Amino acid sequence: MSEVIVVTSGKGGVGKTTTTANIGTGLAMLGKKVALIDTDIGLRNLDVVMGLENRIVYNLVDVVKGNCRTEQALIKHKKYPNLFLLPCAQAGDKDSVSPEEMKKLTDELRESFDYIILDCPAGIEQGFKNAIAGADRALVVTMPEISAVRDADRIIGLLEANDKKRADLIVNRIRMDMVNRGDMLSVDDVVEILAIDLIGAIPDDEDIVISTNKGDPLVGGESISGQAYMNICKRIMGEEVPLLDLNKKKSIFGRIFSKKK
Amino acid sequence: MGILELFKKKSSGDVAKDRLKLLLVTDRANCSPEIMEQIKNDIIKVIQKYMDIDCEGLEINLTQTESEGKNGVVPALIANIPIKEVKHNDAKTEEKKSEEKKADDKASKEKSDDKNSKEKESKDSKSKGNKGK
Repeated sequence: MSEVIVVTSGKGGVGKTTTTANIGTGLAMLGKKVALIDTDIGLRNLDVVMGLENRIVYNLVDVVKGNCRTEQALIKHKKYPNLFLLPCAQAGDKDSVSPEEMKKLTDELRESFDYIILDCPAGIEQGFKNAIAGADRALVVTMPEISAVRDADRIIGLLEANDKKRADLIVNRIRMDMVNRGDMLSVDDVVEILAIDLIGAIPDDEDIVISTNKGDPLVGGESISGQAYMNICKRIMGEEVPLLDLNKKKSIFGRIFSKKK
Repeated sequence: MGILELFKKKSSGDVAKDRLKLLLVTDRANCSPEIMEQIKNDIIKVIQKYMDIDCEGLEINLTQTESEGKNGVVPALIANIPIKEVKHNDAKTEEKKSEEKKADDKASKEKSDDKNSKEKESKDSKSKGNKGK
């Protein structure tokens, strides 16, 4: 019943951690019991994006090495009581955990959670192999940019090679103004090139920066990206939700103003 | 700027799309330089049976091309093979003979080299022996 989802991209800086935080929070808002696992050993960041950085006692490596029980390392979110974070170690390297150990951990968490979401590190080395080991499905995050799409294609190939049957695409950081004047790949372009199912498109939104500043994911809020993330959560749960029109980002007044510029 | 943009044929988004499509053909084919080199060497072997070709100038590349039957682009292996001379059967056998000769020459040279080195060694040991005395 429960599902293990890996959020991956190949390239860094496309929004894996932000996506993990928002989707995890969104699923918890929808009443699901969610565990988020940061697998980027040595470069942990999911804790700060979630606003939980001050509550870390144990981490992923401690759990895997048996220094503590899994429940001891899971940080419970104060606002959403069915949302938990397993932070990763800031010391050590990706080799301190093996794919087998990761699979064992995710299988253990399946018993008590509806969704286990893994934030994958950038790259295709050990960290990537660890993160995908126990996953049932993948969310491939990319940006409408040549290098990010290329890396996403590589990742999709590697997921297929590792028998991850289901991979859905999230196109992040779209700038509709640039797409409209032909200076950015459109969501359709990216979907056509990568040829996998689209599960959501997120605009490049200032509100994301603001929410990260505060350590409070914006999913479910008024902002267009908050709505887009919530729609992805619903689609993950199997609901059919139409894609948002990202052109409706600005109010009528906003559009008149930007045209004058 | 505005007028210039009107004359532009392709937007940068389209350029990116075209570049990406081409890039992914080579990426997906997973043709490492070693494999390309092997393909190249095999092509040389086959064609050399019939023609004298410029091995140094031979180029092979993986690209995309408009398919003739279907609409759209398909991956293609394109080889540029400069021909020096179209061989005749006689020329082929002659070349074989000359190659054999060369091989013989080499072998005999190596043998004589061996002799020389042996002679040197024996000389050295003799001189050492003299010193000892």
